[in-house]
Amino acid sequence: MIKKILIANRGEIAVRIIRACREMGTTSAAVYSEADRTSLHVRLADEAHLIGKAVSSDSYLNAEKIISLAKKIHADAIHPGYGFFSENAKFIAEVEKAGLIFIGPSSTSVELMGSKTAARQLMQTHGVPIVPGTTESITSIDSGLKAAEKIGFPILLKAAAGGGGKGMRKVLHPKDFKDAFEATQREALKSFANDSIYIEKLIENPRHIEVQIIADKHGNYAHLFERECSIQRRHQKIIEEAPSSFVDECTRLNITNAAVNAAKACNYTNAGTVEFLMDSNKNFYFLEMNTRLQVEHPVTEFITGIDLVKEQISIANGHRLSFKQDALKVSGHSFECRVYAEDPSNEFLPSTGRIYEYIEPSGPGIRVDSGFNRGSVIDVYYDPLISKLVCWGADRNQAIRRMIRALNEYHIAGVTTNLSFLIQIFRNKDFTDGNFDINFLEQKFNYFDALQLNEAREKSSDAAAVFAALIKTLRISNGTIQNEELTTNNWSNQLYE
Amino acid sequence: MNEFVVTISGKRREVRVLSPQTLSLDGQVYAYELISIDSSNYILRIDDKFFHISYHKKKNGEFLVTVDSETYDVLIQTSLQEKAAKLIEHKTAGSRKIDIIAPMPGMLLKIKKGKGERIRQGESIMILEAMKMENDIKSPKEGVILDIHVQESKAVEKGELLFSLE
Repeated sequence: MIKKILIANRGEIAVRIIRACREMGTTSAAVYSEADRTSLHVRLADEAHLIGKAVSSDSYLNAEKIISLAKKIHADAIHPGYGFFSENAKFIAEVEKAGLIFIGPSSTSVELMGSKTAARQLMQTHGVPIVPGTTESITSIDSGLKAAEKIGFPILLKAAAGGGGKGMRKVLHPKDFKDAFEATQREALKSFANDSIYIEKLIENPRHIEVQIIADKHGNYAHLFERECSIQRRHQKIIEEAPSSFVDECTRLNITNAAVNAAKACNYTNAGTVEFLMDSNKNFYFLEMNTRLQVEHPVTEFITGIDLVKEQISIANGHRLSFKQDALKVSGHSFECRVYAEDPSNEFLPSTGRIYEYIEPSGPGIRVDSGFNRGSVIDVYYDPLISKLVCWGADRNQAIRRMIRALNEYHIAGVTTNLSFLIQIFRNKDFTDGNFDINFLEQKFNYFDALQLNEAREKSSDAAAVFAALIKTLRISNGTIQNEELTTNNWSNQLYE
Repeated sequence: MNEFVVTISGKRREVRVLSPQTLSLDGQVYAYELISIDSSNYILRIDDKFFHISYHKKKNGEFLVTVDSETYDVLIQTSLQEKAAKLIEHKTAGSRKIDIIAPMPGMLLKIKKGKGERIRQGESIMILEAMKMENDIKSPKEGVILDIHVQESKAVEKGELLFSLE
């Protein structure tokens, strides 16, 4: 019986797991690095333990520290969240060896699926369609270039141990192969501690469709329908939705079947996601399996009513799935926006700093999974994800209107965010019509043009202009009082004249 | 002293504070009310519409202003300051040296070009790794690299001088 869970993660996902623990009456133990003292997960957990310096290798990616801490504080289980150790078979094996429960699949399943090349071979033998390409990793630029030419450009270079959109590069021409190969190898080594990479043919204008699956330790498998994550920038998902507006009933039946077969092929237990690319004729190809909880799991929770994190903990405890496949139905429509600290008008450069005002949207059908709050610092060391804004609507159109409403209510000051960028996407006709693929943001969407057409923004821009002048007047006419007030404000040194 | 020139989203706006209750924006008169919540947060009413505004000051009259979900870089000058700035700009127009600074803190992964090399506009000069992503630092214009001020595998701070070109 799991009584205490160590959460080996940070940010919004650590908060999400703490909330599930709280509702189940399980003790939550957070870990944090020196850079994360102000993060929300530290404040919300039943206990929080400092484990090291800001750099991940000393903290969130230090297996020895995490496992020995778990034993010291008598935790029964470790929840990895996503990223960090979530798909690290070696770490999972060490957790298992230490007599602790890993909340997720077994190290064997993760190892099978963790190598994208091994997974492709496994899927091929189990009749799940895969994207044409190499099923072995490539070791040199020469052999890689030969293989790429045989498959035919354009191609994708991908880290065999990769995932989450990192360690992946598109190569259009043979002349760009060398640079791309080296960069992908470097990124793969840095992000996944493994520089092995392979080649896939680039499927033209596909949509990204994935299926949430879940399995208990008694051989029961279920799927929780599909999600669509085609709105991506540099292979990073930005907006996700469930169900997909592109998938019809017949395709849904086939793709969810394929996903359950993929899970069975590696004896999968716990929650996982099988990702596919779908071409314009609704043919789908296995892309990879994410052997963990996904960032975008809330949209599935909204349309099915299943709490995936609680289900994960219950499965880790040895219980059966809490529901039967037949009882599940798609109810309404859900969107998720990833709110990043980055500047959409300046090539999406990450923005760092202290959040000095933070007001979340709320009201009907809105959920915000956030890792930060007023006073938190967004640091250079980690992913710039501030929060996930998720909404539910009776149908896709209602969900879109609700998301726009909520995005407009969201107030984050201190760092530049992509909120305005997200709003313009939800106002785009091709997007609202469901007429898009994974190249939408790069090829069809112009943020700056969209901004010009947004009248609401004109009003807020007027307000900002007026405000600046009024503040300047206050400073001139009432300088001493104003200055005193400003110097007691320690949010930012940049405040002083 | 109550005439201001505001540059926001590339647009030049003129604001005159007429009285404690009225002001004009590009000649149009509005009623206003400014309520302070704390030193960086205010409620602003313009006619019958309210806004929650947060701000902090950057440098040289620049503010970062957040109005609901929108954040703006705002440059504010008095009319006098604008005139002075134009004069200075005129004087220094002869110098063509450009300094490229780090847009964010990170680690310098690779320096691809050296001192004295001729480069094209948009050519990648170095790779800065931040937030686990590799970012190309590109040249804003064609020219010759005068100097490189940083070293590979070293951390750089936001705003640190990376290289200069002419």
